[in-house]
Amino acid sequence: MSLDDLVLGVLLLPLAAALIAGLGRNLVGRTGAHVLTILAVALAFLASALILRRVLADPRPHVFTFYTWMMSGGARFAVGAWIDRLSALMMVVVTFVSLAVHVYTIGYMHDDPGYARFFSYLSLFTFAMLLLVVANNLLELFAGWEGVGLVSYLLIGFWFERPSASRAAVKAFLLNRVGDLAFLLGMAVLFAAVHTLSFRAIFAAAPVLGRTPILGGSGGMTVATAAALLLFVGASAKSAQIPLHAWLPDSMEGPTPISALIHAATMVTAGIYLVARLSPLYVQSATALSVVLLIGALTAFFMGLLGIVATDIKRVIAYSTISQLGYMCAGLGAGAFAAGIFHLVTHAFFKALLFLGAGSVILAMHHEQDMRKMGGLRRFMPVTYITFLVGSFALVAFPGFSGFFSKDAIIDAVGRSPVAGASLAHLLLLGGVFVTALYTFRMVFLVFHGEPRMDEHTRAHLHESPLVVTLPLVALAIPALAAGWVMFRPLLGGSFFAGVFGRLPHGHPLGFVSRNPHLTPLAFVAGAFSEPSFWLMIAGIATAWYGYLYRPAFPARAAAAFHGLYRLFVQKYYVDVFYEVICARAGWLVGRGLSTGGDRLLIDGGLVNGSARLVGAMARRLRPVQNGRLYRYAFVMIAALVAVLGYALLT
Amino acid sequence: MTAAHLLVEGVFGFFATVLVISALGVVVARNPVHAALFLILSFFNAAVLWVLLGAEFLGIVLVLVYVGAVMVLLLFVVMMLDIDLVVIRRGFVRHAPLAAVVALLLAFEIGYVFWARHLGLVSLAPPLRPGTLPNTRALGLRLYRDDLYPFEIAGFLLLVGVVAAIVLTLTHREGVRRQDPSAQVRVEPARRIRLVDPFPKGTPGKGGEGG
Amino acid sequence: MLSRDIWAAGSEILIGAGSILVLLFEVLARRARPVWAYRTALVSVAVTVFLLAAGSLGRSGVFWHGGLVNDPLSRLLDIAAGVATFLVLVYSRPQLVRHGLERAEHYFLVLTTLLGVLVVDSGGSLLTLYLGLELLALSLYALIAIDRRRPLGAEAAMKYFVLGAMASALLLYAFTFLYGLAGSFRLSVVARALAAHPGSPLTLAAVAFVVVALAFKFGAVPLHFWVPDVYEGAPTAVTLLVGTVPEIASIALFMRLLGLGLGAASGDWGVLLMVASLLSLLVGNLLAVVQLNVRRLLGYSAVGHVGFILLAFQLGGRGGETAAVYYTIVYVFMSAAAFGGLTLLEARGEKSTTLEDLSGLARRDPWMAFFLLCALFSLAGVPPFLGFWAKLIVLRRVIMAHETGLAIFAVVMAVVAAYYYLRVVKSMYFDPPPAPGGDGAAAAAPVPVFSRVWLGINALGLLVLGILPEGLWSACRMAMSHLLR
Repeated sequence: MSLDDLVLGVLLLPLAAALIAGLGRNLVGRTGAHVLTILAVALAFLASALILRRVLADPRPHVFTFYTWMMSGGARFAVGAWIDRLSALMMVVVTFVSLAVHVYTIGYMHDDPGYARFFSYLSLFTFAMLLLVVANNLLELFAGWEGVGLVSYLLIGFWFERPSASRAAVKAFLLNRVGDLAFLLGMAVLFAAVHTLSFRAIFAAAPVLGRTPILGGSGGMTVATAAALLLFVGASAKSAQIPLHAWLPDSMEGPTPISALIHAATMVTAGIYLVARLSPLYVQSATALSVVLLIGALTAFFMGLLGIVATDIKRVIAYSTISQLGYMCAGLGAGAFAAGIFHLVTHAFFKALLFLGAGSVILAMHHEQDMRKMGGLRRFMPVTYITFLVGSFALVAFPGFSGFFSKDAIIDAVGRSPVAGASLAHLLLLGGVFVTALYTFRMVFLVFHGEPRMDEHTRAHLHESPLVVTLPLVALAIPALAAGWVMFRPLLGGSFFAGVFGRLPHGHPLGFVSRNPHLTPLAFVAGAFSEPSFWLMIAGIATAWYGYLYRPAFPARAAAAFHGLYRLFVQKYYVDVFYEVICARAGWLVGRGLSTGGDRLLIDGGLVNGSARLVGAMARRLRPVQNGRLYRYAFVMIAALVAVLGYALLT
Repeated sequence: MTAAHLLVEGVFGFFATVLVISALGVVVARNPVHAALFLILSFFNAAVLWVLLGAEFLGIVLVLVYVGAVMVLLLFVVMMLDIDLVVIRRGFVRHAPLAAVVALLLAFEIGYVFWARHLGLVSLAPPLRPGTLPNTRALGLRLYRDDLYPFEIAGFLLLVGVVAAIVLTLTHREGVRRQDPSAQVRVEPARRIRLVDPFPKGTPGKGGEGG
Repeated sequence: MLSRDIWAAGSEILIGAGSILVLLFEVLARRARPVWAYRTALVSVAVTVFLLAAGSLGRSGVFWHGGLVNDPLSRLLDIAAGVATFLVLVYSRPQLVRHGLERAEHYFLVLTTLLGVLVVDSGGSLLTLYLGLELLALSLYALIAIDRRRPLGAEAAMKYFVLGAMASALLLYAFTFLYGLAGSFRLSVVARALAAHPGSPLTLAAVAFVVVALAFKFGAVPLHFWVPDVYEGAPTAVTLLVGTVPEIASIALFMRLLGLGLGAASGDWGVLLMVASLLSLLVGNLLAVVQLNVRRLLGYSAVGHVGFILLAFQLGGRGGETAAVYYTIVYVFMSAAAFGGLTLLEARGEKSTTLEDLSGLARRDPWMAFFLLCALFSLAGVPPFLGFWAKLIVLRRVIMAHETGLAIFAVVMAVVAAYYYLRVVKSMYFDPPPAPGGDGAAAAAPVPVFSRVWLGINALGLLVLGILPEGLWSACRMAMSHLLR
């Protein structure tokens, strides 16, 4: 099979399955829905693996055009594919996680009336994400981008009877809209400069864009900076970076498989992917890179802090996701694109694992998500416990686990990066390591250790989850454990991503790996014990142990002592309040003003109703002409002829 | 201009005038039968004009087909139906002034077109010369060779006309006796003639013989 | 030579043969239900469309002594007309059966309508154009009056017939002028003769007569009177036909006669068409607003769409003409979906005459309501639908010709149009059903899946082609770039 056939297959199989399962759900039934979608995603995964094998043999990017969507003013908008090692790797990750989530959903959504609809959404999401990944131009990428946004909205609000769920869905949608607007503006800037949106042309023009001032001015911002910053605003909304992060914790209202698939492993990484994909553009703008780096580092540290005070197990993981996305961003901003993508991949595995583990716990707890009502679960759910532990170690970057390789590579790269603001970012990231370890093991200890705190009824029914739930856990635990060992050298050493990413003009932050051929994974692990990040992590775990196992009264006292700080964390830095009170209220006031003053009075009253009245009056005048009399019609015809002939002869 | 030429012009002028007058008569006649007769008169005049133009065949066909067949049929229909044209014409007088103005304007405009020197053309297309070919032969070549395609379409047009007429008028109302030729043809003697035995068996007298 | 000519007229011959076969069924197999006539008609149309699309019916060229011209445009229009007829047949049968109107003659007349359109599409001489037009018109007159229980139909047919005959007379008169000018019926000769005599009174008179006659055929203001009457009076299945297939013939007539034949006089007819276009946009859309009868509403809206088509056409030049052809084809399929939906509703035993009849349809039959919604949104020109691109392309052409005022006027009228289309949607989706649990629900019979599926393909096609607009547009551009005469 040729490469473009494979790509088409990967794209269209989930789409077809989604359509059949969604529109024909009465036809195929529950079993039909999951068999169909799982089959489609499994085949897509196999095809993705084949594609990855092809591009491993041949590193050049393969660019296809499937069809021309439209021509407009000489610009051609096509739907096609850009297959290189980055997109192939992403395809494998997306389809693999999606497959695991599909299987897991059979167990998790077993009793839900919207069973087939859910599978349809899952497959639709997979399609949109794959479209985003394989796109060979910005517009196509944007189509996938909006697609995942839409499905995310549908899935967060999946239980739309719950007001909180539909509110969370709307919130996610609105905040993403802010980002989408910036994305569109970014596209417009690029289109105005390059006259096309294809990656090939943009990459080719990137060096020129880096020198061209925007709007034809003489100084100030370059086109590359403007486009990169605007696109990053879009990326930061999708990847939940400060200050557009507020939707992600609320999105936990959706069913847990969704949290795993969309809000941990794939969709939120779309922003990261976008920046990495456009790295040739980003390296042309030092300003944009600094912004990306600092936003990432700030997010990594401060959002991690919120995980310490959250009590809902899914929210803790959500904050951890935001924080980890911050790490990826920081890696990208430092110019270590490979490290950022590496972390994206490992994170996809271990974060999906953590979410699915949390889901397994929630299932056992009869949909109780408050960690204060759990405890001691490790005896009842050994498989979940062990796999969750693996995920946690990966998350805190314990040497040897997959997260360690990628995260330490990022921290190291930021430390060496020539980008402005790197030293501040480095400090923030190091602080983040401690915070990560603290909230992660707080969660582990609260849920799986200590005394059981649930009520008698729940406790009596505690049992390990069914095989369809635990199987994906095990399947994800393996890469969470081992992916780092396999991928460390090729991904960071520079041979895998050769030619994919743009390079910083001076100094490559990942040079410590690529220039040192003796830096094997084992050596990297061995070296970790002398790094500050390792000891910070140990300190974090120890603090968690002290506070939540050894001295359970300690957190309450700490909270009382630092009352103001605690409130700040619980209120999530008042960002939600800011959005609701300032932005929403102001928007509402402006809207009401426009509505009463502009819309109702001027437009409705004057233009719409007025013109409607005018139209009606004119129509009533015209109506009697058509009175149904044949001779009158005939007369009009002759009169028209006379008029036309007279006009023609007179001129 | 030769005398023959003048004669032709004169004959043309006469018949053309009669044609216009009789056409007017068709429109204004109060009695429908009169109108039909005026129409026949105008056909005759038109036929003469065609003959003058050298299209004898068409002139003859016009008389034979239109006058001989179509108009006779039409006259029958007109006489069978009692059409009161006066009722139909109500409103004619009321709208006459406006109609007259428009008609005059139209006449003026068309007149302008034809009065312009050489119709405003630098050169006219050469008129078709009957040439050496006989009239019918020229027509035949035209119809069955050059314009075969339009001719076939015209045939189809007539077919549609026939079907349309039948569709719109033929009714199969209950209780109306209708002739069914195919049923008549399909009749078998055995089903129409029943042989009756005037002297069935068992009656006294002669026995056992059928009539 | 002759075999080449016969091959070139393949589509016309196939449809003609199909129609004869339909008649033969009626005559020879009386007992057989008209369904065989229906199947024959369907198959002959499908085969013709298939062969046309496959490009196996003759190559481009001029045939039959100039009577028939095969070029990409004729092929495109033939295919569009064939597909539209196919859809019309599929949509109308359930309704005909339900109302006891199914007769072989109906299908015969539908096929001869199509035959007329095909002849006009590839008409190379004044003679074939005229005959094709008459074939089409005569079939329509008969079809409109075919339901004799319906006095409205007879009245509409009568009006249409008398006025149509007048228009035909005007056209013939114009043809005599042109013949006198050129000494031939062939469009190529006419075009040359016209170019040789610019501005002569004879040319002007011919242009005036042609414009009036064509404006009548297309239903442009002020000669649009027959449109709403016919749309309302004809049986629904016939309205479906009148509102779709003949439009193809109209645009073909415009292209062949005005664009190719009288192209040299485009300065003269351009202004006339512009006036007709503006009047059509104004009157059609304004009067549609006050209609409560859905079919009259669609009739007036058809006049408004004709205004759009003429707006593009009057620009002259290939660009405007291409936009006009594109708009017409798009309009035919939108109209087919809209009327098809109404026809199938009647086939279910529902009334679909007034806006109230449609209210609450979304609850009774969500799919049907959705198909109608697609058609109406497309007619209104709502963006992802195909109708949006049609309007956009026309407006772009108008703006490129620096006629910004005209474009603004057209947009305002499109907004008015959106109002009354959306009103129908509102009544389908937001108004309560007329009589809860009334006779409508009891009488509702299932519509054959075949018809429903085709309606779905038609309606969703408007959406899909709207999302992927490039194919049809480039097909039109291609067709218009290799014209013959």
